[in-house]
Amino acid sequence: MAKKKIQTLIKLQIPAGKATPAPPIGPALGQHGVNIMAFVKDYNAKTANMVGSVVPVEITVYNDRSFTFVLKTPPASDMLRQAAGVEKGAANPLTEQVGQVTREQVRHIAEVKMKDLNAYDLEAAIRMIEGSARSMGIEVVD
Amino acid sequence: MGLLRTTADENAPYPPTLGEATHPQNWGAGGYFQGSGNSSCTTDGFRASGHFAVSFSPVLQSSREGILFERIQSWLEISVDVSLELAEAVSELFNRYTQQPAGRGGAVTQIHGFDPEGDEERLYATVSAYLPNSSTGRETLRQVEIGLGHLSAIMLVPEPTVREVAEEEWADKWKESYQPIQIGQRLLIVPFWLRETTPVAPEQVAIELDPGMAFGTGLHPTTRLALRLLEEAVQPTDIVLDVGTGSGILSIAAVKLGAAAVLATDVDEVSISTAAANVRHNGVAERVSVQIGSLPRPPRPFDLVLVNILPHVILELFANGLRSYVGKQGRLILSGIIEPHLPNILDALQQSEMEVEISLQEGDWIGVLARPH
Repeated sequence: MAKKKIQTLIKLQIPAGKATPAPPIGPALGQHGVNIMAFVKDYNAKTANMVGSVVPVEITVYNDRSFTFVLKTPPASDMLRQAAGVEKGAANPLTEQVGQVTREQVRHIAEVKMKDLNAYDLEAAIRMIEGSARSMGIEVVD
Repeated sequence: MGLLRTTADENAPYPPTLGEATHPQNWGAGGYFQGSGNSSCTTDGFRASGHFAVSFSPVLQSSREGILFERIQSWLEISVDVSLELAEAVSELFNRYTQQPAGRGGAVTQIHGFDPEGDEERLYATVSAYLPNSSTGRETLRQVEIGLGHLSAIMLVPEPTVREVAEEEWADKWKESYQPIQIGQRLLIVPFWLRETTPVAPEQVAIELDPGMAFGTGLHPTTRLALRLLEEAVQPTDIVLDVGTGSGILSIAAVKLGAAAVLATDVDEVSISTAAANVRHNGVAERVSVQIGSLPRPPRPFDLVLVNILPHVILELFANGLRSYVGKQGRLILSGIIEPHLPNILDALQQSEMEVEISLQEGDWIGVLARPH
């Protein structure tokens, strides 16, 4: 039997139970010929008991336009904001620092996020989280 | 049923005008994607005339291959192709400017380059965000571009591309793979644009459908389960209530399978206009009334009640008196039940003194037909 080929992998952050066909969900799925409303209904059903949080989702679209999806851990940026105790990242991370996180906090976030990151090992995951922190104007301190 | 007929005023306009809900000019600046959420029923409920005559305001126009409105909303798409390592940082930046407080909007990351036949997969990411094509949207876009410039000082980010996209570009594309679907014993769902080329056997009951952006294509297990149960349950002369009608698929199927009349409701204005259009194009507008809202007030018994939504909404409807809409000899079809939530639904049925007569399952999804004890 011919195996379905992966056409694309789509990553989105959606408020639990509140997916709609509005952008970015509509265009992201629609351009690959995926039935948008089918995804919206499935996502809302599976996240109905998590309403109030943003639940990232990774959707695998196959070449026959079918799809599967898995729900993910909260975004690294959300976890960094919480760890640093800030509301949002810096507009210009080069000149502005909004907060600090410790290496231990970064390691903890990397461990939680490890299974969702494209990282081969924990060190690589830590580097990604550090990069995210830097890009948000959050300093990593010892 | 007698109750419905005796309360009717022969001369009353029926249904109360749908114009406000269905006219595109009344969709508001937020565009047609903004559902009305928990909007309450704006009509004065379900009033049947002696002949159950239904007329709709002439607000729906045919357009292109479909039967829905010309959609005019356009968006600005900003995209940048980056390595997987950079994708998260760019996505975070896009989210910062384009994600609304409740978490709507924001960035989408698409990973391409899967090549199962090659030795090496050359994966890369396209990170995109969408802004309304308005002066506010363009101002936000400028801020995103400045932000990308700052980010480039730390890690090299390629130039973004910006283009206008119309909703038609994505909203209709899945239709290319939407083919006629046989469901249950007799039902055949025919995409509206394939109606002239689809053969329908004499024993088949065809429903021509343009679901647009409303739920109910026949492709989803929840709709298929509801249709199969409907085929089992519907009886001639039934007066039916269809809560959360979406594309109108269940209401149209109900009358085409013999029901006398249907009241179809939905809290979403897009669904109301889509359902109304589908009802008209299937020639059943005389027998199907489409109204914005949820459960009609005041409560009254129906012969058959259809609810294909989601478990938490079904439970809310029970809390709001769903049981009182099911007549003594009535039947209730519940679909959209995802497996882990089935016990809650069964509890609600039991507390309402109803028992499950048929239960069907497809994948994780379950549909039930229940009756009063």
